[in-house]
Amino acid sequence: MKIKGETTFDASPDRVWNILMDPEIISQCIPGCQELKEVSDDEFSARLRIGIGAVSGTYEGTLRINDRVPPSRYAMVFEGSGRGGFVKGSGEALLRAENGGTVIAYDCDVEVGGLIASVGQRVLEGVSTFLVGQMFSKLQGFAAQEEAA
Amino acid sequence: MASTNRWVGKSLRRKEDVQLLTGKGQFADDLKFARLTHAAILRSPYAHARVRSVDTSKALELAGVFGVLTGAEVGRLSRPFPTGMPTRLPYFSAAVDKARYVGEPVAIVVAENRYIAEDACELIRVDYEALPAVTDAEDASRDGAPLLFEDLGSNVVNQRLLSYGDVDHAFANADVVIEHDFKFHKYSSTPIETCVAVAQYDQATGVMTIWSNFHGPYSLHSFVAKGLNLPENRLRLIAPTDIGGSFGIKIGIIPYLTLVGLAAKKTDQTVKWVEDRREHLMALNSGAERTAYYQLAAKRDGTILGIKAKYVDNNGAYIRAPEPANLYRTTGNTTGPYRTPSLQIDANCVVTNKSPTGPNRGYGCQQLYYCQERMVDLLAEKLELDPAELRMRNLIQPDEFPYHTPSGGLYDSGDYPAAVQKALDMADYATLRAHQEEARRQGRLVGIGVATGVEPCVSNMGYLNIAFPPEQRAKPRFHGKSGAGEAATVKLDPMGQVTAILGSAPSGQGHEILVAQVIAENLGVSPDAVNVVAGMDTFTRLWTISSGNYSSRFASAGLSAFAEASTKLREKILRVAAHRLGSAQDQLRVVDGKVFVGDADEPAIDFRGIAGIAHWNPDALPDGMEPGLQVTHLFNYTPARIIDEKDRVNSSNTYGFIAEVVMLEVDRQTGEIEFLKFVSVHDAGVIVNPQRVEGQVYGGLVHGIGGAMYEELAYDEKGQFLAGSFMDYLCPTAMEIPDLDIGHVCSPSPFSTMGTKGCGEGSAMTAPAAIANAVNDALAPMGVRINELPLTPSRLWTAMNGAGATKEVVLAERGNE
Repeated sequence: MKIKGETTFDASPDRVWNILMDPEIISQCIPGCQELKEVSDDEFSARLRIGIGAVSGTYEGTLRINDRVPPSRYAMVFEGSGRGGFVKGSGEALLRAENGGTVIAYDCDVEVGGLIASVGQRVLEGVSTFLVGQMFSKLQGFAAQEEAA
Repeated sequence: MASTNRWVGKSLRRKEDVQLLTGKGQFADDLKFARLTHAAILRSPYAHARVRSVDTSKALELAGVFGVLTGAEVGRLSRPFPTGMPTRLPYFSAAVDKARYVGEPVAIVVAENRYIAEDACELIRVDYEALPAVTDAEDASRDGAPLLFEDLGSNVVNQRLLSYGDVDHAFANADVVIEHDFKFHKYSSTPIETCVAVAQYDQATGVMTIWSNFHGPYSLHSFVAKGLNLPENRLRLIAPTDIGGSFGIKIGIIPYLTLVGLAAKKTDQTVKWVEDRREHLMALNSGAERTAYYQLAAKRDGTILGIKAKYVDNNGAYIRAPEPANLYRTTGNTTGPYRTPSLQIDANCVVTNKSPTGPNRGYGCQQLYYCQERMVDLLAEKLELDPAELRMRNLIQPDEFPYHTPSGGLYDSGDYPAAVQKALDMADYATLRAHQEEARRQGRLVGIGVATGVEPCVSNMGYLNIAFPPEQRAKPRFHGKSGAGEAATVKLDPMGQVTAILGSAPSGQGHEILVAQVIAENLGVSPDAVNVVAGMDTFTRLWTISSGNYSSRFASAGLSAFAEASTKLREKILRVAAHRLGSAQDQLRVVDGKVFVGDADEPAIDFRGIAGIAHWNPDALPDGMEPGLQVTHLFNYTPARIIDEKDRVNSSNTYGFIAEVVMLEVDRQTGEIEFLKFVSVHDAGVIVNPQRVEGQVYGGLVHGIGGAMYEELAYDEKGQFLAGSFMDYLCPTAMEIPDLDIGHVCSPSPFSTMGTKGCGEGSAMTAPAAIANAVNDALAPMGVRINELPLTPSRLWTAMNGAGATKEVVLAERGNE
């Protein structure tokens, strides 16, 4: 599955970058995130509770950030598993300044396996888009706060 | 026959209707056991992954858990299932070192109840190393594809080039050669009852008893025993009285019998496991996907001269016996109802990271007839002939039976032109064509499809040997197979009542009433008076190695056994009566369990009196006669011969016939199909109970419609399974089924005792072909062809609207007129 899109922040690329790299903020913005710990400079461990269709469950996994080029791009690799199966993928986020704000273009390849795939495939893309949207709208909230501060 | 009553041919109701309709059926899940424990199975979420480690410690700490058995332990405690082909694959009931499909068991938990067992599964930590997966059989056949079994060096695990007749001559001398490719998809059956296994191991005797809804073939008893690492006389398989449907998919190897058995042995508990629907869709047997390449050579007048075909079967991750027989079950009837003199089949069995396949109603025939009947229509199109007329020109004629097909089939009887004509008449074919013309003028997409098929019944075990090349079969240590038998026991009880004991477990077809009708006919009693014992117990029933409820065999093999057994019992009864009455045996007649001498109005003795002598007073029996009145007959079809050195084999023993005419309309806007006419004519030989046959015909047709239009076990390219619920795996319901016009012709089989043939698979074999022909006919004015299934609205819409149409349109075509 591809998760691909663009979203606009009313903040400079530097600010947006700092928000994206702040585990404290990120953990508050990822829907269902119960825990996000920095394991090393580039690696985080996470616990998420997500419901997709009739399948809800807790997933544990890791996120690794690669190829950081502040404030314009980074790549990530993630994987997690739980009762509902596993999720793994990789992607890239590109930040560019535009009209005084920042546009993030993201492009992820996600593989979903197990229970979610076998009973939730029809709703998976819709749910993913929804969750990603929810995350960005929270992040935009943080960006606005910071901007105001 | 001396009896005056005629029971054969009547639509008597099933004996089990009252129990089933009042909720009193006895299914495997209903069986009660003392101190029963319950199992849940942890399954791989990966299509292909190395299992690095399985940590069960947390699961074992959970209160109520009795034990966990991992795949690695399964590898140590059992032996791989045998595969009926030269290549040996290490197939165990759980993933030993690698998981090769999504849903493959990785561990099994035994606990106080299913809830705890499921919870414990979540506590097991499996360390997987994900490996690249391959889901398409042709991708899997290419060099460099991920290998499922590295040691084998290839995913093509069985391959045979089978040639019959002079196919090169046929193609060299043809006026026209057409060439097309087809794809037949993976789908299954939907029994209401999923799989159940209850296992108990007796440490003292070493006997493993497994109660399950597996219903044969009992040749697989030895496979289960091998999986359990037990001698055969220590494995007792029991089937309950009622089985809630199967349609083939409960007859291949069910690995759970072995897995649950091993868990019972390890934990020293009586362990029950009930498959849930997702497990059923994800991991039980399903029909094989086939990619097929066809070439057909014909004369200008439409006479078919030869067929060359390459089958690439996708058999999933392992070869579950009787696979790879999807390739070979049809050998004798590969040319269908046509007089095609030459044939070449390049048969390929490929393993991929999908669930393993097995028999699914029609086993091999739906793939065969879908491709072949499409080819006939494409030939008709090429030659500008009517497709019904083209079929008529090629049909085997009634005076040619028994007919030897080039591939070794011995068609017992038939009148194919009469059956096709009947279907055309019932459909009013000429009028349908006129209506189609009219509809086309209005811009509507109306199509007519005709399909025919020979329905093979009662498999000859001999066909399984085709997986081995002749040079290997010629070796002295090779043990060939043949035979198609069934066992039947009929008794006159001590008080003169009749009991019949089946040698196979029915799965809802109503075998019990058929047995009662046959015995009633032969013994001169009422069918109500016959107690029929269903279910199965391999320790106490008498059975033959090919016994079982599969391959449309009961009406022919099963009833032949009962006809023979009851005839023998009748002989015995009359012998006792004649001795008692001092009259000649041929002077006696039986009516309603009473024996009359000559034309006498009053009975001279009844069955109770005869039973009284045979059981209670053997001193009064004729000299040398055994006491009691019971007969067990082991029936075997004599045409079930061993394969010959030229790969010819009579793969079945009776051959029915099906002719179908379908008219439908495709909605230009939505791609939806609406049936306008559905005619199905069957030749099942002598019909013992028309209502039972009608049930089978409807069932087969609905299954065929499901396969053609709805059902698909879909996977993504990484091998993730996408059809784990009825939201995703669509089955037709009564709402989707059109009015069906069903007709019959009767060509009695000379090989079964009463002239019966089978009809259990029926239109599941031919409906996909008929519907595909009709859809292609409907889309012909748009220049669109679809050579894939299922014919879903989205597939039709896409084909009609261009995108993807190039892929779906014919891949190659050539003519050398």
